[in-house]
Amino acid sequence: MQEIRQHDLARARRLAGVACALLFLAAPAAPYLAAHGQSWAAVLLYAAFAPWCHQLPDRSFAWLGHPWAVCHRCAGIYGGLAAGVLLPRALLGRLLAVRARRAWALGAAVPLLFDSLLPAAGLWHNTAASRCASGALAGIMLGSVLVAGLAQLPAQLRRAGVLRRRSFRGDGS
Amino acid sequence: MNSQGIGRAALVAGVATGVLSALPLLGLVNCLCCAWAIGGGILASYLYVKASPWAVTLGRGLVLGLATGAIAAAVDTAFSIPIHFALAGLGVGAPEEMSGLLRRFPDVPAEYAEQLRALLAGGAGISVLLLLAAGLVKLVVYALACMLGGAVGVAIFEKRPPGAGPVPDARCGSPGAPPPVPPESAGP
Repeated sequence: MQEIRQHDLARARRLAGVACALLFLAAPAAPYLAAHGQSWAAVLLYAAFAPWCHQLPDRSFAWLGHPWAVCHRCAGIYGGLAAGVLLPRALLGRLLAVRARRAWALGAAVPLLFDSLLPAAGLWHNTAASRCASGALAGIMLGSVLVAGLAQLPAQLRRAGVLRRRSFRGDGS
Repeated sequence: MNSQGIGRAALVAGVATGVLSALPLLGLVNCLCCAWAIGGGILASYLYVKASPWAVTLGRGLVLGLATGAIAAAVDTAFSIPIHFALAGLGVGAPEEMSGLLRRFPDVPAEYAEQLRALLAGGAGISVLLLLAAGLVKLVVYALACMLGGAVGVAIFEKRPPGAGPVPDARCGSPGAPPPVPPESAGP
């Protein structure tokens, strides 16, 4: 992985962490709002996720008598995204080293693909746990590449002259 | 940053993603975790890495994905408008989808649900406005999904170490010629 300043990584973590946590929390917020009489807000949340998730109630977590706004697999992906941006720097460096990152990207996506496609061929029967876990692994991988890419951006933009060059105290670079 | 190379890869992948997402049945593939959008980002990265003489970073993959997502959202929205009017005549448009969603909430007063359904089924102007508003949501979602796809694509397809430049060709290159200067891709 390209060298990343500690300061840029911390900033990327804050940005991506807040965004991914909000995305993840929006899914259980829909049933919470529905159960507390805020049906319009719940409808808006369900409608916002509808184009990106099938939202089948029997394949979604339920809370307070209503399904989450996304399915088991998407909930796993969003949770994994939030966890992936918080991976320790040393682990991030190992996973995204040039020689390892291809295996990490493909290896983390393979369980999700198998868990999604093998049931159609009758070779595997997926469960809520397998859908959520395979989604979470893919989400952690996506979160790791997201935070690493975001952390590299400021240095690239500084070199391209888009950002003014600045020196940060205590950034370890 | 090699903006021309990014633009070309983003254009090809963005148009493909937008068209596939807008088509009535094929668009449902996006219900599988934004598969078209993530795939579009991966395609853009593949095209860009293949054409770039310099090692591509994950950060550049994010920028590439951002551009791809913006183009995909614009193309999807542009295609969605005529498709919406074509499907409205068949009774499978947005009003019917919203009616199905509202039926899950018995405490929403029936008259409100009917008003919303009538609004969605209203005149062409309102429909176009709603589709443009949906386009703004698509802009955000496609940009995020394509950014993830772009970074994953770089992780999969870029095998050169950061800062690596083109391999000199002993058959064609003149031995005394200086190596080209990398745009800005070299690592710190």
